[in-house]
Amino acid sequence: MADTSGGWLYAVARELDTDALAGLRGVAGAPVYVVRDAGLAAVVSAVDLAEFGAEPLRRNLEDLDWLAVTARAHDAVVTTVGAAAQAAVPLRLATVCLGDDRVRDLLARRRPDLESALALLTGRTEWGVKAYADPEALASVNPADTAGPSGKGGAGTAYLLRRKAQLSAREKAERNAAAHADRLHGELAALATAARRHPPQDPKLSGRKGWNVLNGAYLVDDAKADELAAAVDRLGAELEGVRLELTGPWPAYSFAGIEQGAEQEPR
Amino acid sequence: MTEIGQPASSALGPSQAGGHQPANLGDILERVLDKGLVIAGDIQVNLLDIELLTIKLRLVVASLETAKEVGINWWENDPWLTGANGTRELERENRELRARIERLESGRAEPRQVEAASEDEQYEEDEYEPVDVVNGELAEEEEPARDERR
Amino acid sequence: MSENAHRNELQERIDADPETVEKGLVSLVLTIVELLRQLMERQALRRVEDGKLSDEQVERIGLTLMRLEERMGELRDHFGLEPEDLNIDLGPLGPLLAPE
Repeated sequence: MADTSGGWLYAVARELDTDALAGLRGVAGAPVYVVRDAGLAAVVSAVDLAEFGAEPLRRNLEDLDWLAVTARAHDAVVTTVGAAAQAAVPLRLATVCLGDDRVRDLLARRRPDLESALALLTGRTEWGVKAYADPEALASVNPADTAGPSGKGGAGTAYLLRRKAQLSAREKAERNAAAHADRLHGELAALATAARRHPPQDPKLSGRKGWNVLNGAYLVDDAKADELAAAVDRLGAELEGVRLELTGPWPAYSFAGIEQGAEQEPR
Repeated sequence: MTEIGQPASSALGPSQAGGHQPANLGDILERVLDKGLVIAGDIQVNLLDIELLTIKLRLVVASLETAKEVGINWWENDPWLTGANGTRELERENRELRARIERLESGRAEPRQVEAASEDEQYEEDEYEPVDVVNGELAEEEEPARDERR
Repeated sequence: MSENAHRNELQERIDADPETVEKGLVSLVLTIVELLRQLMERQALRRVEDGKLSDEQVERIGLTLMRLEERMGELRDHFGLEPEDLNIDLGPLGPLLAPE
């Protein structure tokens, strides 16, 4: 590798069918290749450090256009690798090494973590379930709350009573939404080997209205994928005022890291 | 080739060969930026700063700078925002406090400030009450004057 | 909204043309005002609930808050802002103002 280029890493796989990677393009349209080290295969693209070096990378990552294109390309390669291997550990965006030897070093250095992640992910897939709550449906203002002691006060007092009723209705809605989310997560996690709750999504990025009360990721045995989908259907119909969205199959991003403080330990 | 993890029933969830593509950008970003195995490559990047969710705040901060560049800076001259009136009040208080400290330190009973004259001097004289000396000690009965000003 | 339309909306907000820039500043200021208004309202409601205020005081506080809410609405309309525009995302801490 020349001094001006680096290696962008996508994933580390075991028993990878390299034929499936023929013609595959990744970030910046670069072709992908494989660097092996004793049973582990790192999937890499050669990238120009003028675009992917420390400073340019920092700048580019703040550019939404560049980030969107790069993130999709990264994810597309990771997904393809996952489908073409016995198991694959997705790497976070922007892992860049300076030379194939460095990639091999990295594989050797992190072998234990990589092996245990691969073991966890073999035969399993990540699914995402998001729940959106309709605040109005979850709690309605109790008319009794808006009526003050009869005959007392004017417009100001009436306003206060109305606001008080609205705020308690809101608090009630929030409690209900949180309770629904907890129950949902519990039921779905029961079907999974591991489960995590991510922070709610920014509506500006997701384009969805309503409160995002659950943003969960579930690592499910492939044999149980149907059961999960069925459960999402059932729970979506059962819960009033809550809309569910199932996404996937995903490469197991949410379960690749050992050191992340997961809420639930893998069983 | 069967996609690993592809559910038999395709009625639920995306089922095209690409798996979950095309997916919501938010779904992808929250995964590739924040999840996935974190391995220290040779290039150090702090992805925690790349929090798109806070982009709006950075937008606004950037807006302030850009606004000034394009000549929008009304907030710099608005009396309410610059606290032009409030500043005078603070300055006056400062002067009085400093004078008081001076007197206490020098042990004098000075009825008036001896600071440099300012346009507010007259106002100060009206508000300021003489300090009484009782039994050789300074009595600090200036609260009424202060309250009046508020 | 389609994803592309959505990205365009987000991209628009990042453009630095003067109109957008001023709108960003105004919405920041109004967000702070709205935060204060909400805090004052909650505090007033707590005091009312304590029961230590006379009917007159309750009425006066209520009228003031009511007018404040109306004024906020007028300001928002004047600048063409929706209630959802008045918010700051604190990243991991969530949004500054709870969605209403």
